[in-house]
Amino acid sequence: MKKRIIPSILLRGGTNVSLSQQFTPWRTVGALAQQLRLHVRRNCDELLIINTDFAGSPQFCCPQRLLSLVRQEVDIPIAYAGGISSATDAATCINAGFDKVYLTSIFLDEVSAVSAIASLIGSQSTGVCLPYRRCRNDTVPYVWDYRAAAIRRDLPLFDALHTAAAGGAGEVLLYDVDRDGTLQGLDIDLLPELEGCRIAIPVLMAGGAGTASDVSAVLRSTIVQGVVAGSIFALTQETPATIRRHCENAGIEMRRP
Amino acid sequence: MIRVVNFPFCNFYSLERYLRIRSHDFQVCSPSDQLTSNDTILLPGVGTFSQGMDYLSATGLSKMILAHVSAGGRVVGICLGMQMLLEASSESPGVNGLGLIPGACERIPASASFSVPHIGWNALVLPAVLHNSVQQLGPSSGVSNCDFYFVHSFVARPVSSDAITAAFQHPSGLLAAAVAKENVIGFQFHPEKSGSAGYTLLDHVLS
Repeated sequence: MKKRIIPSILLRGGTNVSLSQQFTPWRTVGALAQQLRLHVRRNCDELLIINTDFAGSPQFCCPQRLLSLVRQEVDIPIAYAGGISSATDAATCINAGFDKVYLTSIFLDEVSAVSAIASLIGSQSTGVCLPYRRCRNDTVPYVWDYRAAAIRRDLPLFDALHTAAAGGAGEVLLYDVDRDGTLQGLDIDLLPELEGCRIAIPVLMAGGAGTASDVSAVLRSTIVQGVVAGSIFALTQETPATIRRHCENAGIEMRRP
Repeated sequence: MIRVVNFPFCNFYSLERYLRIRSHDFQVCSPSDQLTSNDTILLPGVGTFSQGMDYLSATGLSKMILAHVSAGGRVVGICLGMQMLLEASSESPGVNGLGLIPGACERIPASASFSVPHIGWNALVLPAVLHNSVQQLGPSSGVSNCDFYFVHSFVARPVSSDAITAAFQHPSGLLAAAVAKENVIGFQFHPEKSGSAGYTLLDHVLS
């Protein structure tokens, strides 16, 4: 399989695009239309929209302005995350032009809902995003519940990974909260356990990508199929094309655009 | 005229974008449409085999599609739309497909070096011998030098390997990425989501 470079677009306040640090939006960097055009023109492999306006919200809504921009600008795969809590919400996203949805809150609250969503739209269109952190003096990563801003001590990351796969998810995004927005490198410490965990579905990693080398360091893993990143594309000179070239030179099979 | 089947859940708007950008004359397919053999039915699809077939049966579109093909009309299926062109799928045992291409769909074989679902960009492998028919993916289709976007867990296993017009590499061997039989064409990957290469391929097929 070709490895994927996936820019994330964090929406805050309608169609304003923000960067985040440790899962907290901190700086607006543009508007959605401009960001979609930029990433599509730069030949990224996929896009992920994370709508923070509705993340964790009991009422799902996918704004019309957002949908019309996606339909207008995007001819590559695009996924949506933010407040999806039912099969109906997920089907709304797919009908609207998204190829995949990512679930977090509903996975944490009611795993069976993930199965219901996968039954309707297919597991290949159902992703689970697992934000995680490590406690001080503890090497074990745990899922982090962004709504309560609390580590879920009852839910080690790798248990959650297996639960998501068994529950019908077709892809899992492992998101390192502490590295988010730092540009200090992805969590390579996770790789040995990931390699040994015998997970069959694709795994993506996010949080901390600051250089092309950071990306290739995790894409060398046979398990990691892609890297999701935001700040690197706004704060450095790197583009999906430059990262892809670097990875190819490192012997990693990448897409031919 | 291109008629697009608009499932309750499908990639309709991705196809709509392509058709709009390329100025194709199209409309949503209705069972009451009077089709001519010059029309092309586009059959997209996301979801499970049984949901797709249930919808086609309940709306009367399955009969319409079969009649259209019998009359010499063309059908192009994408992703689940392609899988429904076959007779059955192990995803939904006991559910009949359209049966326009003999064979069935099966889960992609598990492999340590190949994650399933198959999600992402992959190269197409063309059969060594290209058959002399319009739907074959020859060099002019632009498929040789680019990758295309796949997102699926099941794969077509046509009875005749001649029906496979393109394949992708799997550790167990080549698996079908595109199928065709006379005026019936199917793509497992998403040309409408594969950037300019995908648009060029659709131009080639729909021209």
